Parts: sequence; structure tokens; C-alpha cells
Amino acid sequence: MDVFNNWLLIPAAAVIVAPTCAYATQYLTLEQAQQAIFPGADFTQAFVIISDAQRAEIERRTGVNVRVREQRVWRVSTGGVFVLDEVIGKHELITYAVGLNSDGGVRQLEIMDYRESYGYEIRNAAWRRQFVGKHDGDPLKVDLDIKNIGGATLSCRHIAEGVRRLLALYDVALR
Amino acid sequence: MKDAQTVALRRARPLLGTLVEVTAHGACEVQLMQAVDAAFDTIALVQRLMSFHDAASDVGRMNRLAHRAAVRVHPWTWKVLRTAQRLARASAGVFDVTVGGELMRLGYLPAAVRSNVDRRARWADVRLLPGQRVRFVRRLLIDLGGIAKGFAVDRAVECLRARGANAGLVNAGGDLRGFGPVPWRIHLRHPAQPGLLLPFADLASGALATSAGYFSRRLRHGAVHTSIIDGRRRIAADATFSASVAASSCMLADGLTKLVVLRGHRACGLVRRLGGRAFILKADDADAKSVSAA
Repeated sequence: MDVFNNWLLIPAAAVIVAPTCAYATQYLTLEQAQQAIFPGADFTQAFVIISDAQRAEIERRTGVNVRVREQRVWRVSTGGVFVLDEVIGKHELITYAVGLNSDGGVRQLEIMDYRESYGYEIRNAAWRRQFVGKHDGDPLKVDLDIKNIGGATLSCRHIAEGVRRLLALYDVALR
Repeated sequence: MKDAQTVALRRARPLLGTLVEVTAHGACEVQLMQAVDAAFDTIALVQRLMSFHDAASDVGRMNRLAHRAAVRVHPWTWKVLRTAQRLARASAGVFDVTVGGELMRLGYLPAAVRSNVDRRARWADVRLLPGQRVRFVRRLLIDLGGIAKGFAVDRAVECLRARGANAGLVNAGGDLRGFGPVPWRIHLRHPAQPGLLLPFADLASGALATSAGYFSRRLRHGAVHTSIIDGRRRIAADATFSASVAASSCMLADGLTKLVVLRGHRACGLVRRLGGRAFILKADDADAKSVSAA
């Protein structure tokens, strides 16, 4: 392995370990995300149920499908709201939180959980539902070791769409 | 990070069209949180300056106006352009940031309102003038996508160090740079099966950038192509391998990977002369042992 004799790089100790097909990272717990976006504030949870009319209006304004009718939202003691959301891409499932100021503008966005998977399972809706919000007992072995991945150029288009949807939701249902 | 006093933070936000991860280790959690926030702010500034999509960015203004009059740009945009031109000269135009028109035609960039680009335009038609002003000799569209991400990583790392982190890693969709006493284990994606993560190397300090077609590869007129364009021949790379370059700065590493994707092993000597080290991972390679270095 002397091909790596470089001042920058030392070859990885294990040449090959069992490659992983599913990979996950948790960046922040719910409480950590709340304190990261609204430090020192208190949070009061409100389940928002999106009505048919509200869904139609959000979809009309944003062109983004509203897939989930229940949205987990917290009112913040210092003003504004904290919204928990999830987006599903071709290979990835991302849980993120957005803090909105009382004027409806984005205060901060934090990724909380990132999970990715390849293969036939991801196309199966029932399988994806199992994947959502679970940390133990996943049917698929998920590698939870922290990894630094080179060449991970997944697009974040789905998150941008999610934020557009949440901004419209705020205007339609939370303001 | 054996020291019990050491705090570690790892955060991710969507920036630069990808997921950017910032990891920082240090003694004080409050200080680290501020350092990580500042690092993300720095990356957001690079995005505002160099976005192709944003008409008000330096790139947007140059693309609209620089063929008519010199456009003054931010010192950071200037620095990226200087490096881009250096790479273009050294590679005889294979690396070229004036491929915005081709990327638009291939659908990788949104169609600009006006796209009457002079197809003869090349990197040498971008003139860097005194006072951080830029003038285009022909009507052209530049896209800094192939190098600005690496620059953003460098600025974010600088920011973490200046604000008291004693170790850190910034990873912008596979373009990454680390620092600190303990090496960072880096995994690469298998070029044919991006879900497979192969342990590649421990990065002592410095940068590693990786380019591959696995997420951008498309089929067009029966041919596979990626979003990496040969500036001289004006055709998109059809690489089925992934190219990684280690270098002291992520901007340099990022730019040099494009040359390796386009020229394969033929680029490795040039990469080395420019201060980088190239690694090619082929699609038919079963394990990391067959990563070839040149």
C-alpha cells in the first residue's frame, strides 16, 4: 500500500470491510434542534392537521405535493414556530427542522437525521414508512457509525421543496 | 479526542446545492456552536457570490454584463477566478469555467433569459483586470460550480480554526477538508454502486475532493454523459470511474478532480505538478485495494 505514501493521506487500516447499503447519521435530537434554532426558549407542541382545502392551497402555491396531513409544530415562547418535517428522495430520507420567525421568514434550518438506502426497498412505500422515525429494529441493517463520505453529491432539491411547502403552510394554517 | 474536556459537534445544512456537513472539536461548547454557525454563514456567502442561478451574484452579474463593461467582483470571487484561469492555462483549456452555455444546453443549469452565447468563447476570453474587475472579450457564461465548492470548504475551515476549534472537518457533498491532531477516516462511494461505502484513507490534514458521474450521469441521444465538460473539445465526460484528488487546499483539489474525470490517467502527471495527488476508482474494482494512485 505504499502507493499512498503521501503527506496528506494514510491508507485506511482495513482494506475492505463489509460494504454498507444503508447509512444513517443523526445530527441533532429534537431538543438539540430546538435549542440550536431558538436558544433558551420554551416550546409548546401543537399538532396541525392540514385540511383538504389547505392542502389544495399549499399545492397550488408551491407546486409541491403535501404527502403528510399531520405536521408537528411547536409554538416558541420568544415568538415564531418550530416545524419538524421529513423529505424522501430517490435514495435518501431526511428529517429536518425549520425555525420560522413570527413574520413567517426562515430563521434557521437544521438537518436532524439523514438516512440513505439503495436498492429495491426504497421504492416500496410500505418499506419507506417503516424507515420513517425509527431508530431501533429496522428490518434493514443500518450503519450508524459516523462516516465522512467522499463523493456524496446528493442534491438537496427535496429540502428546498420542503421549505417552500412549510412556508406556504405557515401562511395558510399557522399565521 | 481522548480528552474528556473535548466537545464534538456535527451539523448539516443544505447549501451549495448539496448537503454540507461541519464537524468541530474543541474545549467550549458555546464557542464551538458559534464557530460552526459562522462556518455555515461563510459557505452561504460563497453561495451568494458565486451562484449561477442568482442574477445578483458576482457570477450572475458577470454573465449579464461583463461582455459589455468590466464588472468589479468580491475578493473571494476574484481568488476563485484566478485559480480557475491558472488551471485552464496549465491544462491547455481542458479545465474551463466558460462552459455555462454547454451546461445549460445539457440541462444541468437552468436556461438563462438571454443565452446568445458565442460558441467560440474560451477561458482566454475572460480577462482579469486590475482592481478586481472582470471583462469578457466574447459573450459567454461562466459557471464556477467545478471549483467554488472547494473554495467554500477552505473558507469554512479557516473560520473554524480562527474561532477556536482544535480539530474539524467540512464536507460539501464529497469535497472535504480536515484539520487537527487526529486523522479523519474517509469513505468513498463505489462508482458503480454509490450505496457501497469503501474505506479509503485517513486524512491527516488537507483536502480531498471527489468527482464522479454517479448522481449527475444522464442518458442523452443514446450516450451517457456527466456534468463535467471538457473545455477544449466542449463535450461532457462519460467517465464511469470516480476521481479523487488530495491537495493542500480544497479549491485546488476540487478543480483538479475535473481534469482527472476528463483525462483519466493522462491527467495524473499534471495534477502532481500542480500540487495534487490523483486516485482513480474504477467501476469494476471490487475493493479499495485497486484504487490506483499516480
